[in-house]
Amino acid sequence: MSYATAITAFAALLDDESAVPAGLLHAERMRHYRANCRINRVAALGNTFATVEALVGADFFAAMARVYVDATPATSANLHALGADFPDFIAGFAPASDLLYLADVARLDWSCWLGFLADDAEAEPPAALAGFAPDTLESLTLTLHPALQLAQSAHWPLADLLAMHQGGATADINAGGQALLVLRADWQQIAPARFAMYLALQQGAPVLAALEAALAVDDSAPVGEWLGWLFASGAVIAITEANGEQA
Amino acid sequence: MKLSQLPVSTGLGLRAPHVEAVLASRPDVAWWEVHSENYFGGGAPLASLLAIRRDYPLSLHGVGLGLGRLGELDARHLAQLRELVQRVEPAAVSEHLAWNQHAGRYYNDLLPVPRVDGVIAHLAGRIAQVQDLLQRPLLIENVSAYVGFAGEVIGEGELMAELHRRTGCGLLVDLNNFHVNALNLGVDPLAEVAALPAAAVAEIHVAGFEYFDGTAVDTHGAAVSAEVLALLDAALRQWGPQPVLLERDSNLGEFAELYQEYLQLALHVRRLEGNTLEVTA
Repeated sequence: MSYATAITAFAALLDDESAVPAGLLHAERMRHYRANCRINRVAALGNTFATVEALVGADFFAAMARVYVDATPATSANLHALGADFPDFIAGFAPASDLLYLADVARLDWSCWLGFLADDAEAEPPAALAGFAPDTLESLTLTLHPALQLAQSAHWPLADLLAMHQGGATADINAGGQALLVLRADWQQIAPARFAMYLALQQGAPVLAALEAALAVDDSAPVGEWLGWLFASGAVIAITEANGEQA
Repeated sequence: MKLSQLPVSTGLGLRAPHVEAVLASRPDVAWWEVHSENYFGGGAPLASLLAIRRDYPLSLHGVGLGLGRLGELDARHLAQLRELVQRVEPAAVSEHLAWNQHAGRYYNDLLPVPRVDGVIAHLAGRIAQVQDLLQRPLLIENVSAYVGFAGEVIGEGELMAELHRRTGCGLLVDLNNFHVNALNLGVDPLAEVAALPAAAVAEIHVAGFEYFDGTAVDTHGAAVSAEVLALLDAALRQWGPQPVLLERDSNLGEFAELYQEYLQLALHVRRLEGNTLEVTA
């Protein structure tokens, strides 16, 4: 038996209990590998989706995560990189269908996770923007730090739920939709206009267009202050002019 | 180049739930080992690791490269590992003789490599690739196994010795895994140890296992067994003093408990080395 044939036979049995255990000894023990893979992934999901787990309890979470893991082949060896589509799975998970907010909370957890683990990057100093005349704002774009993540729910109070999970007051689930930003382990609730502005910047819109996106939501939005906050917080890692050159 | 810069003393595996306690109390531990993948990315986890690195020797132990997988190694994983090694400048870098991917699907466990025709060339090529990338020796570790392969052509210890001979890699010998394989598959752990040349050995792992449905499973979730401690004694008599690591991954508990277990193991190793020196003097 060649090396590749042996690996392929092992993988076939790992994927499908009914596969023929060609060239394998004690093939009935394959269940231990299936169990290890499942346990490792379920535990990692509990770590990543901590607010979801707190809301539904450890037993329900583990049962839900197990169904997801069994239905979703892993796409990375790195457990920290798994779970991007878990929120969508939760949205369609019938036993959780009464918990209408759960998928949005899972999206928030994933945003927190991405922000927490994002690569380090050197920030542009607050003074960096001062060198540009106001009329260049329509052609400047900012690269935001990957540790800055945005989350928003149209219907559910994400910031209140996160605060509750971290020891704050009991959230009123009917308090309405909320937006927030995450920067590493820190987070804050933000106004919808500020969310619109940062989202536009994150998606590569020029600075002026992002400011206009905020003002379209709230025409008294303090957009200059919000822009300054990004620099003061180390959340801008590059400034690029429309011609493509880094400023 | 030396296989590692690890101190020849007892170290302790460090997991995320204990990092805060370690940074606060700076316990008397000779060196630490962490899983490399837990520090891919930046932010607080990496900053904590660098803070520990300032005060202690550190070993980076990979669990996700999958040296034995078919096809190419994962380019992003390699790039992240290289970045981490450059930032941390560890005393040792290690990976398992295992695979974790087939036909685009990943398996988040350490799957055993079939020691059939072609295994040596396959693994030697991947080890050389990683060593070229990192510009340093890689330590390779034997894994536990529950399922065996028919028609194997070489023993695990023999395979490790041959990979050292071909690539110059170091050997990270997990004695608990040899013991688990003895229980599950009937290998002779003393013969495996005897197959490994002292000059190639760079680190030893000990840990605990648990039984599930009559199979010994390498959970790193229990105390080190008496059989594994006896195997450690035999191994250290053969190879002389080595860096020895206590690993614990599940049933982690409070750091203070694990620290007591570590101190007991460190004392055991020091006494053994003292006795060994008396015998040979």
